[in-house]
Amino acid sequence: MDDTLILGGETLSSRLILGSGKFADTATMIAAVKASGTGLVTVALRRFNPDQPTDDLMGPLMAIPGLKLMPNTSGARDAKEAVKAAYIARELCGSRFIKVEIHPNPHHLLPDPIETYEACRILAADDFIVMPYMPADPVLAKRLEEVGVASVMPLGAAIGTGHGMATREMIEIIIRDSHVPVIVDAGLRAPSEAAAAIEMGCAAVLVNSAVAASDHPVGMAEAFKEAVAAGWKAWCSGLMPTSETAVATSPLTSFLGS
Amino acid sequence: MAVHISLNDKNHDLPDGATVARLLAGFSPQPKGIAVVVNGGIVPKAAYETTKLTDGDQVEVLTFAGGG
Amino acid sequence: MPASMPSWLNDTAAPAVQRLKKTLENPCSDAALEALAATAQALTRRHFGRTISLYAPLYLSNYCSGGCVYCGYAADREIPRHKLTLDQARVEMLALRTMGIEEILLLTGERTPRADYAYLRRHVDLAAGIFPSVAIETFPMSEEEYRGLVEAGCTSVTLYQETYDPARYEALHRWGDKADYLSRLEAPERALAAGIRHVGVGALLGLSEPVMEMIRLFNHVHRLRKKFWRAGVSVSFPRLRPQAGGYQAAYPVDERWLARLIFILRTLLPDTPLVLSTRETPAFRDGMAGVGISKMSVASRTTVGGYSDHEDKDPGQFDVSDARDVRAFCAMLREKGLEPVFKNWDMVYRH
Repeated sequence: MDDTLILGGETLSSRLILGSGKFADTATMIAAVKASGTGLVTVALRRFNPDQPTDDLMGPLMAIPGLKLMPNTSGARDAKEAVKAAYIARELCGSRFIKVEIHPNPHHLLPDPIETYEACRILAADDFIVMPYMPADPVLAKRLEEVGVASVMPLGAAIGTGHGMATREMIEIIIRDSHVPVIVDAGLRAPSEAAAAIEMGCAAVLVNSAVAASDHPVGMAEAFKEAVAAGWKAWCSGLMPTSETAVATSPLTSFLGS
Repeated sequence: MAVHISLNDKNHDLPDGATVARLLAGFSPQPKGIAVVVNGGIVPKAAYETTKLTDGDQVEVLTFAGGG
Repeated sequence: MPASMPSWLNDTAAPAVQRLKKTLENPCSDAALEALAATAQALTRRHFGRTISLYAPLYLSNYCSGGCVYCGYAADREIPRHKLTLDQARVEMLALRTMGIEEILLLTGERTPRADYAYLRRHVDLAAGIFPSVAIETFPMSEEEYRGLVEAGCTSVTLYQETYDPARYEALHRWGDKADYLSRLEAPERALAAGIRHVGVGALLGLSEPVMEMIRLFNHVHRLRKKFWRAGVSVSFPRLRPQAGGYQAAYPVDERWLARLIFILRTLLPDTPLVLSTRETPAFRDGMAGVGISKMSVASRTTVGGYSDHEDKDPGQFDVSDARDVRAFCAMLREKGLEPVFKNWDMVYRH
C-alpha cells in the first residue's frame, strides 16, 4: 500500500493532522507541530488587534518545511458565513485547504449537517480542497462525497470531550462505503485511539485538544505520531481474524454432517 | 480633514485620501499574515495601494490564530 | 479472447477479502463451523430479527437465445418451449397472490423475438398491479430499457454473473449477447443508474474455482454499495444441480462448503440480504434459515406455468429440491421460531 495520503491532489507525508488551538503559547504549539511530524495544521481566523498584536502564527508555521495550512471556518454559524470565511482564509494564506466547521451551538460545538452540506457544495465548486467536520452520519458522508469534498471528517466524539471513538460503528460504515478518505476529527484523547482509528481503515486523524491539553504537548505530539504510524503499518499488514468460540447448546450445523 | 472608519468594530481615524496600505502601515509591529475586508468585500493584496478608504467604511482586518 | 477484467474485481488486499479467502481456503473443523454458524445466526438475528423474507419466482417463458453450456433452457436444447400470455400470467399471479405472496420474481431466458423486452415490460406492468414488489431475473439490457421497467413498476433486478472468470465465462457462453462478459458484469450498474432500487448478484457455484469466484463476487457487492449507496444489494447462492443438458459441475461445491460460505459472508456483510432458493434440499434450507440466510423463495416451479395447475409441462431449467408449498414452508419457519415476512412496504408511498 502507498504510504502517502493524497487530498485534492496535494500529497501529505503524515496521516496525523494537528490543530493549533488551545496551546499555552505559540512556542509550545510550534514545538508540538514539529514533534508530530504532521504535514497539515489547522488554523482559525481571528480579528487582528492592532493594539495588542498577538503572536504571529503564520511566520513560524510556514517556516516548517513542507507544512501546509488548513484554515477552518469556526465561528461561522451557517453556510453563508462559512463560505465568506473560506474566501478570506484563502486570500490570507493561499491554501486551497478549508476545514468546513459550522457549529451553531457554542456549548457542545456539534456540527450543523444542513449548513455544512450547503457550504461544501459551494466551496467544492470553486476549487477548494474541502474537508468537512461532520456528524458521523453515513448518509451525510455520501451526500458530501457527491458534491465533491476531498475527504469526510466525522467526529469520533464531541469536540474536546476525549471520549474517543464513541461513533465507531457509524465510522465503520462510512469507511466501507466511501470513495474519499475518511478522517476522524474530534473526540480522540489517547494515542491508542488514533492507532485504532487508522487500524480500522481511517486515512488519517485530526487531533488538537488531546495534544494541547496534555501535560506535555510535545511528548504527546510525538506519541500520536508513533501511534498513527503503528496503526498504518497494522492496517497495511492485515490484522489476523478474530476467532469465534462455540457456545451453542443445540448445534446449528448438525444437519450438514462431517 | 480626516476619514472616520470602523476598524474591527472600533472607530478609527485616518488622514484624507488614505488607502488600505496606509491603514496597515500604521500598525506596529507590522502584521504578516492578514486579510482585509472592506464593507463585506475582500480586498486582494494587490489592491491595497489603490483601495481608498472613505467615511463610514467598515473595515475588518483578520489574521490566523490557533484553532482545531 | 476472454474479456479483460476490471482490476477492482481482483482486489485481495482489503482485510475483509483476506478473511473471506482464508476462511474458504482452509479446512474447517466441526467446532469451527459451529462457531461460525453461531456468529452468522447472531448477526442475522440482530439485523433482520427472527424473520425470513419470502418471494416467489414465476417463469414467464423458456424461449431462449442463449448458448449457456450448463443450462437446460439453452437455445439448442430440444425441449418443449412455452410462454405465458398476459391472461395466463394473470391467472398465475393471482394464484400466487392468493397464497399470500407479495414479492414476485419474473423470469425469462435470454432475449428472443418470442420473449423480448416489450413482452417483459407488459408482464412487469401486469405484475405491478398485483404485487407490491416486482423483481426480474432476465437478460441484461440498456439503461434506457431498465428505465422503462422502472416506469412500469419494477423495483428489483437479479442478474448473476454466472462466473466471474473471463476465460471460463467465454468457454461456457457459446454465442449471443450473453457471451459479452463485461456487458453482463456492468448490467446491475446500468439498472441502478436507471432507478432500479435493488439488485441481486451471485455466481453459479460449480462453474469455476469457487474461492476466487466468491472474492470477486464480494468485490462486486462492495463496488455496487459504494457507487450506488442508496441501492439495496443482495447476494444469492445458486449452485449447479442436475438438469436437462446433462452438464456436470467442473468445480462441484458441497453443502458443507456452501454453508461455510454463507456463514462467513453473513459475518462480513451483516446487513445484506442473503438469499437461498428452492434449488436446495428442504433439510439444507431448514438448517440455513435464519443462520445467515435472511430471504428465501417458496413454491418455486421452474417450469413455465406451474402454479395454477399442477402438471409439469417441461423438464425445467433445474430440479427443484424443495417442493413444499407456501403453507408447509411457513409452518416449518414458525416451528423454528422464525416469522415468514411477505410484506414489502416501500411501494405504499409511490401510489
